Amino acid sequence: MADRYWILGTGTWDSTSTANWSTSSGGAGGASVPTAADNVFFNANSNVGITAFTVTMANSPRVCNNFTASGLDGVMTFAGVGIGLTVSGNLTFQATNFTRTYNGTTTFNATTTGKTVTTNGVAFGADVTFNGVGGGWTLGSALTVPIGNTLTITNGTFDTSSVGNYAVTSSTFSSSNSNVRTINLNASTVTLSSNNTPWNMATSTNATLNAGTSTINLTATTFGLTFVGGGLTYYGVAITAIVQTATTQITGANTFTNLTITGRTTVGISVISLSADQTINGTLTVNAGTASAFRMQISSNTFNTTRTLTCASVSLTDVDFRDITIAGAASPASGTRLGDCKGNSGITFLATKTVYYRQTGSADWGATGSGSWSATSGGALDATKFPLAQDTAIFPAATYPASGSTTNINANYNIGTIDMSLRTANTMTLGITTNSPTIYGNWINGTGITLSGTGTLTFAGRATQQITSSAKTFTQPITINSPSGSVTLQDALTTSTTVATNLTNGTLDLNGFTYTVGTAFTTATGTKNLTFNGGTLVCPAATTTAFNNAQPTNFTTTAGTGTGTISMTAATAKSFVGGGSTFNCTINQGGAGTLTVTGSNTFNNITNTVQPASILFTAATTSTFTNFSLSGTAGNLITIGSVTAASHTLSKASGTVSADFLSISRSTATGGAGWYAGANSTDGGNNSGWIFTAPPAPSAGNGNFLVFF
Amino acid sequence: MTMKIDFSFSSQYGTFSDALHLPDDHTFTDAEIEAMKQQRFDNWIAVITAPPVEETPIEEV
Repeated sequence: MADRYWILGTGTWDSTSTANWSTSSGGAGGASVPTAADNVFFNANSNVGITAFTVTMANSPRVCNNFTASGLDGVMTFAGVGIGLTVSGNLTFQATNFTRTYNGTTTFNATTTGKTVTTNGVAFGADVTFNGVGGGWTLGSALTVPIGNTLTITNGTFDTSSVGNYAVTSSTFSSSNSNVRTINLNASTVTLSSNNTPWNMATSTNATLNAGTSTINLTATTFGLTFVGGGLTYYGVAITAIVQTATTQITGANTFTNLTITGRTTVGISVISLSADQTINGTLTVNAGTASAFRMQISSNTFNTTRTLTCASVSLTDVDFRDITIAGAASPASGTRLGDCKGNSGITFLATKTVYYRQTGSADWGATGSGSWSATSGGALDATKFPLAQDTAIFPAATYPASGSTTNINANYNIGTIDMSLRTANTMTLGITTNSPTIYGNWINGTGITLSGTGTLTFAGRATQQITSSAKTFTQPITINSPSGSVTLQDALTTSTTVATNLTNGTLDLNGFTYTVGTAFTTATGTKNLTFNGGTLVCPAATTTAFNNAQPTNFTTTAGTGTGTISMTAATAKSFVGGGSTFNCTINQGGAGTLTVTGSNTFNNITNTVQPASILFTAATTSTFTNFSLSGTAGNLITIGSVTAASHTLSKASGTVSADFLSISRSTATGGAGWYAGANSTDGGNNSGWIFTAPPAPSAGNGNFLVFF
Repeated sequence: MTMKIDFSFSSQYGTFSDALHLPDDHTFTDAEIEAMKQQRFDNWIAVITAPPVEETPIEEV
């Protein structure tokens, strides 16, 4: 280990030049370029007189043991474009007369403890990494890593100083690996501004986090950030500036002394998503905004999977909960205007209330100040009456709002029942623009209602919900995601042709009515049921996913009372993607376009209400029917075939198929029934099991006659 | 040799703790030292209240 002193002012610190290096302070030049074992000094003898000078690093990274800039009597600029510095010992920047402009990574790689890092108010210019097996560094002053950069602890012990409790500021703090490392935060304030992953200890193996009484402030204001806690124990974590619409996530089963989430300061709702249970030994605080339409939501990252917050105490205002259990001394937790978005326990919610819209003209669902709602019809605006997920929101017959007004659901709010049934002569548009509210109660249109917007309406009440359309078209995609719940039509429902309906969890009960979907009816992962009770699901889209049982697992259908139907009505080609499920209904070819049926499905019946038309089954599939009622008319045949040049199978267990005016090819009819295609049907070839005659006329008493004789 | 002056500022963003490392024989007045402390704090406030750098969101880990 040797000492190297900078001399002669401005120069380049590269891998070869020795002109500026001396073995003594102010001594002769020509000393070797410092190695990682050598200490470098920049002091009053480093410049000429007291003139300013610049030391420019080149040949990245420059290395040294101790880096000491102290005693400078002229301004030293420490430069280097894209050049980093690797320090194997201590680092000291001088508080004055020292400017850092190099913008490469600074790495500390000591392998022994007792090192200090004293930046003296000088911010680094890029990432800072501590990476030395067995190394230990203690801050001698606050440490600042610039915006957009990362402080990384890879190996060793990083200590903010138990005496100084120095502040640490960075965009991101990262220590996600399996190396042995210790992080001592003491009573420091750690401020992290990344809107992505400001704290990342995803892999916390062999990490020791001594949180002390520190506070980690997460200050991102745009995208939803992710606090990747790694299941460690923290003292104070504060998410201080949520204004975004994206979801903020907390991952890892962490323990906090205090977890503080600052409420919104604008109308809308911000979601805190938990991917694991959390323990808060002190207080979970979700601060109030200044209006009840400034809402926070705490929910599980997995719908219908509960996360438990074990809390010693809570302070909660204007928070919606979904799939959350609050346990511990704070349970049952209470607060101000807590919304129940289902799946919760250990939380005391306000009793269901009915509120009345009170704006007189076009306005927003959630508004600042006195809000948009009143406790009584026509009563005074009341900021506390914002309708929660368990509430009923009623639009009075007139005045509130005036006829022709638009009420805009201006955020992804959690909404209970919307009752617009009184809006008849006095019209009103209920818009959602691109917002996607979730509905936990009933949706009731009046005849004077117009719906607008393209965000998704999700029905998620996990109980009985009803939709009354009043012949008003829903412009929004509709999703049913109501585990163990049901959504029952009260009249026919039609959505715009440009939007889909998605069945994820729960029962969609057509209740004898017609549900006309737009681009598709689709199933998603979940336990879902389609109940007909004599109703009809009309899929009019000319697409390959007009009916798309994309996730057939745990998908069931129920006939209920009467005969249910799925009618594929496009005048051009369309597909029924059955997914191999059982459809306790009739599938109807209801449009001139070819109907392709994929999957080995079971149907109550198959019919056609138009002819001529074609129905093609995927080759090598078996479609099973209780009844088979396809028939064409003279000159208007129903074509039955395969999608490709191979056969499909149609199966019916018993009885007789009595069809006519069919054109059949590549079709194997089987199962035990008599498959009579009819005398006017055409054998297109490659068929088996089909009988191209009319069925034999039944003879009354035949059976008894034969037995008798 | 140097002397270390620890200092802290409390703010809505938390406590900012830092240290001034100055030569023992420095000639800074108390007012100048206080100004240096304030400058450190102001710099910190500027950093943590700077407009965010928009980063590409990542999927949940």
